Amino acid sequence: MNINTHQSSNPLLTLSQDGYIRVTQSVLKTIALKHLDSGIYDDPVAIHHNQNITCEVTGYTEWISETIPLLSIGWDWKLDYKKQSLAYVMTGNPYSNVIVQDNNFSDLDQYDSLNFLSDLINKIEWSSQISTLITKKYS
Amino acid sequence: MEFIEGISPNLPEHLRSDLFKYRYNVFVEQLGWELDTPHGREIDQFDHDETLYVIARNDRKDVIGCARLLPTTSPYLLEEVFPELLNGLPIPKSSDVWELSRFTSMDIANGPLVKNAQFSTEVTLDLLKHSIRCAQQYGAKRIISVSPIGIERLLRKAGIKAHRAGPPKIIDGYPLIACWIECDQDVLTA
Repeated sequence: MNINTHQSSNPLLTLSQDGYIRVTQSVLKTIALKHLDSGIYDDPVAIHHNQNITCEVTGYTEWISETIPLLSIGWDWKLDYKKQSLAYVMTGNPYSNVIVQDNNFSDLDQYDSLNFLSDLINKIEWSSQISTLITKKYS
Repeated sequence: MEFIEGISPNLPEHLRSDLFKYRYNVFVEQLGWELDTPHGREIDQFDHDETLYVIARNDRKDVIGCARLLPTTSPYLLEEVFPELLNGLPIPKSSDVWELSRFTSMDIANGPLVKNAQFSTEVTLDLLKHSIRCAQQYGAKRIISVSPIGIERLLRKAGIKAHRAGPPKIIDGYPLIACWIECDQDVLTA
């Protein structure tokens, strides 16, 4: 999965009656995603660390394909202060209208499908993109 | 706490009045949704005699949560207002598919409230399960919800299998999605 703004339709994508789009692992890796929306959750999470209390900044981000039908993937993130610089880190599994299929066109179960999507997300440079967008949106 | 359910004509007038006032407080005053509704009451064309409501009240009889359920055989919110949320799938029109909308459990009397806290209280999971079971009793096998993306977090937390129908639409600055929920799940009767 790449990030770019190249418009394309993909004849290998079909919308099933159950609302899922079934996509093989190999096809999914070729589909570009573009950013749709990101935001910060308004309710900060209090973190108790030693005797200090800090607030964890968390939020969401939403990405779509430029194919028809549209693939939709969203996930939650937190700002990670533990690294040398601030970083956006995905928390939990993503939310999507995609069911990933193996190359024999068999559905992965939902857990494995979401794990596959998580791995793809972690290979793209989403963190730096939403860093700029979040800063702009909330400054 | 108690849950009250029923179609509109079977609910007492004072309860319907409390419900629409509560929805106004939540969706218009707290969440800032720009709805075409009378001042002080949040009500629209989908609140009619076939509409099924689930209402949560606390021990003081204050409304602290609600859900609106509509059969897709009649006009419904997703069909009339947000069909693009289905991502091109034909609009469901079936007696075993119901729509869930105006779902919230915001406890207005016991803030503090934040913008995306539509699903903010401990009542939420019980109300959600109760609402799904209620729709099931009226023949629903699947529910399609129209909600902010918080509904997905809530469903996952509850262990309820569900998935979005398509990409969100940004309404008043927040993403809104349609979400498919299967009614026949053991977790709903636990």
